[in-house]
Amino acid sequence: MAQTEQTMLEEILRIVTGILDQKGISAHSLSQDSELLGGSVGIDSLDLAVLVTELEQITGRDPFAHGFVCFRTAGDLAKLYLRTS
Amino acid sequence: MTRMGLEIAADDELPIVKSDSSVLTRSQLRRFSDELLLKFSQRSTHRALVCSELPVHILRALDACNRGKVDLYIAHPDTDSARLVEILAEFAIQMRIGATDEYLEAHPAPSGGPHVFLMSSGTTGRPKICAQRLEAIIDRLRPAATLPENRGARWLATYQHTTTAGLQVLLSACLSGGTVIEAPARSIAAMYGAAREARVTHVSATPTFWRSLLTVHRLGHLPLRHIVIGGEVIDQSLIDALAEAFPEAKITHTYASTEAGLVYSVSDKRAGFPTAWLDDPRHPNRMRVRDGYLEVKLAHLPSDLPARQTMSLAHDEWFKTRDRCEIRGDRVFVIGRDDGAINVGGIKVQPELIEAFVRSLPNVIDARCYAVPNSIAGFLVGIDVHLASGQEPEAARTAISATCQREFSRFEVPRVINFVEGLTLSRSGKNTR
Repeated sequence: MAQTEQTMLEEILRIVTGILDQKGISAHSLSQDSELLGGSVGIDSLDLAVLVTELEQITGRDPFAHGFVCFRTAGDLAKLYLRTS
Repeated sequence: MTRMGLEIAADDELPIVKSDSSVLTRSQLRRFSDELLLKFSQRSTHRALVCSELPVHILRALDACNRGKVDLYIAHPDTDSARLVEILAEFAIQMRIGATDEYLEAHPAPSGGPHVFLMSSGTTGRPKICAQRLEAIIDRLRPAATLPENRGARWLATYQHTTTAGLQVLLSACLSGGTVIEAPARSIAAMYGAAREARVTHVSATPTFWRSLLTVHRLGHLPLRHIVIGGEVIDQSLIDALAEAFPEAKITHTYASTEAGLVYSVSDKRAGFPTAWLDDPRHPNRMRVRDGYLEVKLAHLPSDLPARQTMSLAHDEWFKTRDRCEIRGDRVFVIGRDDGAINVGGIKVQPELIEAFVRSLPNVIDARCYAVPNSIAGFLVGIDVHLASGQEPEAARTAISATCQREFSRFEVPRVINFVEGLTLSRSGKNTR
């Protein structure tokens, strides 16, 4: 599957929406500029772990495997997955 | 002996708990505790239970129960209501402490303690209930809490207050003239925001929490003085990353359990603990490694416990933690629990329960649950499922996932579901994990 940035971003937003839905939090207006951790999205460390696992199942990659990586937005995270090989 | 409870002075206006919407001072807490003590004496109370996520109820319960010689059971706020009713009945609880304090009809024997009864957390199975004396818990925390550098500490609350780790934060704040800072929500964003706004100085949290925080922290935004890590195996790379992100902070990692309380703490920025501590009579809790497992000789043995006490005491009083250890050079490393439990972000999950549940679902022939390594949470729960023939895997995946979401806590829900043709059995006929 061609991993364009747009495809990656859509996967991330789909998974985050699913995570928030399960917690009963509405995921309106999530976009590439949404700050996943530091803003108003409200995910916790378990949610982040689930996001990382689901993305690894889809992409076969884990950018967090070798140290600590900073990211702010959903767009940043998408770029991170495309950079990791 | 005069019981001192949490040693809270009636005229002390320093805040003990702060959230974005309220402040609780020590004098207020003392007044609430006095009121509760009066309620105990009005109905000759020996056993009480507190079930709340609010520090005010937990703290006033701890203080009043100790002063009033009342056994206190501390239940987690997310305890299933049917389970709570069972607990109230089983232990003959006479008063339930919370938003409203409620007398219950029960006739327990007078307290032989008083003891504080903590419950192991997080999972659907029956919790372990372990007795401690409040004085013993406080005595173990007092040396560190009363150090000059910890005077007036502002602690961010990261753990549920009713857990061993959460209680240690509440009590450390009490002992150090400090304050507990509550975030408005349990998300990374809210915790980080609250910590910045309140200029938090001390944070005690799991490696999972710290790994998440490191993805948002900007150098200088949180001038922490003391970082405490516990609840999961800690590796050197996390310690190094924290030392780099928070160069001014003291970094301590701890090993504790519901049964034994705080066993050791290490502050030399190295993973593991010094081999010199093994069999050292000067160490507060004696430790030894037997057959590759860590054992602890508790300084305080609980006595006259209810029948559900499940501590595995060897006859010479060494407590078997069931944590495997490795000795490498001058350090002892705790590797992980050997009872098959999966450590999901600090919460211990029993895979057998999840396996049994999934096996009971329609069209599932067999299931095997196991730990899936995760860079953020340490481990998540995975499950291999042998489906009956003719089933569509993706539909089954969605159904199993949704059903598990309804049945289990967030930590227990399998996050990786694989479909397999058959499951491997060991020679004994048991599932290999």
